[in-house]
Amino acid sequence: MAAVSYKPYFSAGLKEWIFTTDHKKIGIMYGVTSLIFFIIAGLSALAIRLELFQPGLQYMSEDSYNQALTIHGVLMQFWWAVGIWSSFGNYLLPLMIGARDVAFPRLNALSYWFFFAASVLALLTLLPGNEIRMLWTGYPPFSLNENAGPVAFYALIVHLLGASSLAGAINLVVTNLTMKAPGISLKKMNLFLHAFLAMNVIQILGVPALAGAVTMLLMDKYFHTAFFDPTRGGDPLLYQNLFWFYSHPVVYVMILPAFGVISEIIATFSRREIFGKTSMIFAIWGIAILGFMVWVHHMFTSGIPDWVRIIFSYTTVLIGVPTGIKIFNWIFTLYKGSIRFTTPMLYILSAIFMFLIGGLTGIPLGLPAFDIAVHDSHFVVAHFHYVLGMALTLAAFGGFHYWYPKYTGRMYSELWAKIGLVLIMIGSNLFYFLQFIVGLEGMPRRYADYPPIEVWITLHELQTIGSIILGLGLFIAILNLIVSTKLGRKAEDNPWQSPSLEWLVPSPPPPHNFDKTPHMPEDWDPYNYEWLEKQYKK
Amino acid sequence: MAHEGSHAVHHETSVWALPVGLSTFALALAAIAYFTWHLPLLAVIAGGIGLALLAIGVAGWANEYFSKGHDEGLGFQGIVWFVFAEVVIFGAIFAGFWMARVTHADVWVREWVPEGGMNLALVALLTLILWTSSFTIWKAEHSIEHGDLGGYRLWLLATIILGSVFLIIHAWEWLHLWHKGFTISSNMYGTGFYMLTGVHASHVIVGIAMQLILLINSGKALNKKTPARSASYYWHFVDLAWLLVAGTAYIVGSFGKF
Amino acid sequence: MKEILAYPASYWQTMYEIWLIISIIIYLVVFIPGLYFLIKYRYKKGINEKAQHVKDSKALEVLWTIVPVIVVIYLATQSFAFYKVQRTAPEGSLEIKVTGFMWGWEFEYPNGKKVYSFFNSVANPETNAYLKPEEVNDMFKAYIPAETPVKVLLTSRDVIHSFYVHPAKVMEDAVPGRITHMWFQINKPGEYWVFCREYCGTQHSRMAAVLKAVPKEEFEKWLNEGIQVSDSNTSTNF
Repeated sequence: MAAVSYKPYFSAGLKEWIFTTDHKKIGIMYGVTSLIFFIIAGLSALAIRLELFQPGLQYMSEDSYNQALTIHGVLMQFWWAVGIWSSFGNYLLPLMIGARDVAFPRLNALSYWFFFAASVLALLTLLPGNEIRMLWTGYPPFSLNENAGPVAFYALIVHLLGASSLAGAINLVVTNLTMKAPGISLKKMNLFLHAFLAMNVIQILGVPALAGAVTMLLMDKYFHTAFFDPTRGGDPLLYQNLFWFYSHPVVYVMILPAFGVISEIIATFSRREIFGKTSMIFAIWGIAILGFMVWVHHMFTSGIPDWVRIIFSYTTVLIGVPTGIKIFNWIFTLYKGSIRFTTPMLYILSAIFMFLIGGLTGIPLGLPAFDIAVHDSHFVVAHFHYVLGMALTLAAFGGFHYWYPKYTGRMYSELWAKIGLVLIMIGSNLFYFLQFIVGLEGMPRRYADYPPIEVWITLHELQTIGSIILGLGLFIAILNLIVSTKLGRKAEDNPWQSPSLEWLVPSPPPPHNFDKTPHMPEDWDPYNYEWLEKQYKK
Repeated sequence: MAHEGSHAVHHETSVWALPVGLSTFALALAAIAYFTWHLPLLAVIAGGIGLALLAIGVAGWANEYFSKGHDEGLGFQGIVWFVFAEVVIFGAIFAGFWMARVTHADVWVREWVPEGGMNLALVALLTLILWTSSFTIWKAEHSIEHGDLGGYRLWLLATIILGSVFLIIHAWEWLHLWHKGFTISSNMYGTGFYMLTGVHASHVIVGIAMQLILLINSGKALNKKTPARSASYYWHFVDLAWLLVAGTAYIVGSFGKF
Repeated sequence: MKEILAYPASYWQTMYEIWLIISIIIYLVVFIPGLYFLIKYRYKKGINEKAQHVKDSKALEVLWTIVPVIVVIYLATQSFAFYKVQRTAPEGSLEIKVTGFMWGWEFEYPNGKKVYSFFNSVANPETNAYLKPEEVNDMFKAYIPAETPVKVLLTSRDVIHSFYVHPAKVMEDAVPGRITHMWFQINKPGEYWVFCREYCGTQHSRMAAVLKAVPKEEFEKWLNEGIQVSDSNTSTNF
């Protein structure tokens, strides 16, 4: 391998960034946008928590509370939980399959600019007079009411994000299916790639349903169509059906890539192949397919016929099975490994720990007999913050730390990364575990104020303390990542000794990734750590 | 290896994604300015800028695509996946239409169908036009495969004309129904009818735009045949979707009692 | 035996306990081996530097597919059984019609008597603080007979609301254009909260009402006092 000197991609000038079609730069642009919005959403969450510290309205009015809820939900869902995986996918997918770029590099840039346009629109809603208070769900008829704020913002933000997701997903699916380097079969593909394939297929089939739903919202509001008006033959539940037809599968868009990251990291630091890789692949697709058959559990109390609820309760709980398979396979990947407790490993072990709690508390929400009491209570909030809030965030941060040397060519500070993790785990468990309890006690969701019930007050006070610790931990972890781009020590090309293809190029990767298309030998496998050792011996 | 010398293929930068991306922002802003800020002047300006950016961006993009690099043939797969997404978009509106049709079967047939029913002869004519255009675009694709540039241009032009005629007749039909008092806000039949046919018409417009871009760049089409195949595939989908759209909006909508 | 405060909360309680036990078992089944492997197979210089090859085990994989399938099917079926009871109002229930609006509740009794509860009726007019249920003015309280099942027919005048009876642990949405139903029974006389559980705007968190469960005779007396004559025009179209 001739060591050609090249300018690392991140030292490019402004013009090269703006007009870039390089998947790595676009991946970084997604990541930075995503993180900025994660921080805004996190701050709005802190505002919400401070308001709930005591009953009564201390810091904000009901309307600004509702706005904070909306910002928190929309930003966390679309910019963080979905957006961050656009970053990982863009950056890593071509590297992992040995391609120079994605299938449609210009379309890829366009996807980002759609995302960017949506970001600017979202920031505009912060201006007075443009506040949206319809939450990330935007249920009609409420969202058509003046009280909810301008629905045009909400609908157009969703449209732009949808265009971004759709273009990005098509791009990555075609890249994945057609541009794999010789020697990488479907069976040899990283689980990360399988997860992204499934996730992007879900995006392609799901996003249009949401786009359709918000288009109807737009039409109903500004052109007086009858979609959600029961007096003219419409039905508000149509929106909920379409919305959840996308928005339930979208939680797998969020969590499947997290599973992919977990699989990569757990294999690397156990130094052995993933246990039951084939069943892992089937589990991914099982989740993706079942994911489209469960959306009604979000509507268990919305007045649909009881027999529909029962059918969907069976499909819903069945999704626990492939998810369980994944967890068992991870645990058995540890078996007879040689486990190194590096920072990324600690992050994803924490993610599995959190996911297990989140997953187990998700099962009863699929049981109507249980859901009837906790639907739209803080129990639900706690459940999806364990799963999408913490398991996803910890996996994403695990990924940040794992691929950090690849992204930047430097190492982060181990100490601060670990301090951050400890604080995150203490804070989030204090926060969200008590949220389960306050939910079981009956506390409804989306309440700016609550009645002075003794036990609720105590639980809310402790939760707020937990949320501050969690915020501090995340702040330290993010700050460490930022500061280390300048202060971190130089990293080797392959610090974790992984045979996965992205680690076989220099850090940071050269502009064209590979000087020539790699041909992977017969005995290579992304999780075959002995193969790598043999290469070194040669 | 097929990728040998692909340094030339790989564009580090392209100026054309940004204007297209910004155009969507300008258009969104125009809608917001009009509907929620009530500033029609700003809406017109933003909308104008948006459309101009879109036209410039798409034209530049197409030109760059046709003049640089070689045909990698991936675009066809991209369109196939995109059509899957389109099916779901139509599915969402169909769901709304059919749900209302079933739950309000009574009042639908009694009160919602416009007087005199729907003009089915016209639908037959529209179908005929659209399906003929499916044939002409297939001929265009066939011509370019065999290197017949003249035939390609001719058949493409024929498709564009047929598509436009379809739109004109369709627009006339809408106006006619609208004047009869059957509007998009009358009831769920009106809403469903105009949304289904309107969304379908917007796809016809996109299809015609694709064909126009192909026609403008047809000078360089001989070594880039994937776009023609992709546009043709998309157009077949639009024509096939018409069968369901027309069947639902006209026949299911105005007949029967179920 | 513990006295049961309300139905159908008791069924929920059983469902909750079944789930809790099962999930604690599952948690331990995953967590203990996980922890054990983490400790046993940690990297040790000279001792455990290399991972050993492990063949995939079909038997294990089948085991952890089949057992979860059985567990979740059991849970869903158990829920099915309970849900039927939770959703079916017993014979002879008192039927009341409840209409949600922004922001408050309208209760209509079989004899036409109506009670309204507004978002500001649960707040102290001076400090605007949330009241305790006992502190709410009596005219805003919906009386219900204790130890009697109550069937609620729900709808909404504007946007979607949700009627959640706190002690009975049961809720159902109030959707415009639809009539939904639920039932509950409170055994112990007292004052209990009803909350709106579907986000409905500014005063969502104050869209509460107080149910006053009283002995049956007292309820009858209350029901027949001060009854307004025929204002069916103002009621929503059930």
